[in-house]
Amino acid sequence: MTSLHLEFSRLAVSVLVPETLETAARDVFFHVLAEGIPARVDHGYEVRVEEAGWTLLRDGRRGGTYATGIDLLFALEEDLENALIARLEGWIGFHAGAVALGNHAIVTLGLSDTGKTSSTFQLIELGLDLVAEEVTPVDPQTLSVHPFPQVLTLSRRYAETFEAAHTVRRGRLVYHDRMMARYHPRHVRHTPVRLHTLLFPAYDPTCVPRLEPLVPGDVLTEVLRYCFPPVGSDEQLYDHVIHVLQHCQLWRVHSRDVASARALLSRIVEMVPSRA
Amino acid sequence: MTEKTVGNDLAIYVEAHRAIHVLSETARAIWTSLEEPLTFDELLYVMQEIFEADQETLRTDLQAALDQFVTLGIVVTCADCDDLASS
Repeated sequence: MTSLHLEFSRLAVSVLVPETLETAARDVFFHVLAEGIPARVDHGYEVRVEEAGWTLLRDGRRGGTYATGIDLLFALEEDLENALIARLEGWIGFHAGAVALGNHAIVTLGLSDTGKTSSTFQLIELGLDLVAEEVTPVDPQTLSVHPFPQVLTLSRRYAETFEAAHTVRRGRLVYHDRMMARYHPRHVRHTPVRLHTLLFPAYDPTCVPRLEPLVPGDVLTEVLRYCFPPVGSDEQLYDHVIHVLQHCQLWRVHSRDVASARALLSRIVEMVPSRA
Repeated sequence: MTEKTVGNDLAIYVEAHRAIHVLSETARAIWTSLEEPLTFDELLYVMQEIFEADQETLRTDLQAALDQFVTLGIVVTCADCDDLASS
């Protein structure tokens, strides 16, 4: 068994994995592997190979059992997201991806299958660095976007369409199965970045591609749907979200395919100052 | 209920419902006019002063907006006031 240590903002965990899963685990958690033992460990995970399959234990308690080690690692990713969400006190947890240019962050919000992750992927391939994926922690007081880097999960169809038109340059695209591709970015930030822009992807194959400028009142109730349940009160969350919306640029990205999304996202990138 | 400024817009936070509602320009005008209780006809008169629309359209829109306000729990009708006063 090998012990891996993973460090995120506000969350440090150890994962005990059998040697047969070590390479895969290092690959999945490459961005957050700590070199030494962290000063504080919030949760201890253990992977056991049993007759019924691969079992995940958290702090000694049995979690799920999975058919393959890879399935277990995906479940562990989700468990880490939930562990982080539980520790967000004072911060907003957006269901979003975040990338950075200079000291400015672009956060792409949305529920599953809205173009959130594909936008994050495209922005990285346009030259930005990954900051966070799936859960994006934002400190409303400082407008700092805190790192939570993870491998991006894309639909295989989308990844194949992208690769047919462009060379993937800033990361590694791996086809996992018939439905799923995983993108491992090479350029990742490990320090907080100031929020500059919030994007709302809107994919519609029949639309005229365009960027729609938004004002806070247009999107307040929508953004609240993209927030993980607050650790504090609802009203505090609303006040924090309003504050954030009033201090960044807001754009809805109406795209109809990979090419139009890339063109629109390039325009967004041009509007972000590239220096701190 | 608490008013929240959201950029140039106004939102109403209703703690009892754990909800927040961003008001449109029209809804904001109605909300602001209702700082003091008004009858429907008094409110219709105020809206006629603000918006250029024929009376029938305004009446219909105002009724719809008020119905929504009541549903959201951010406005109470006079009947509700009587209930509150007697409780």
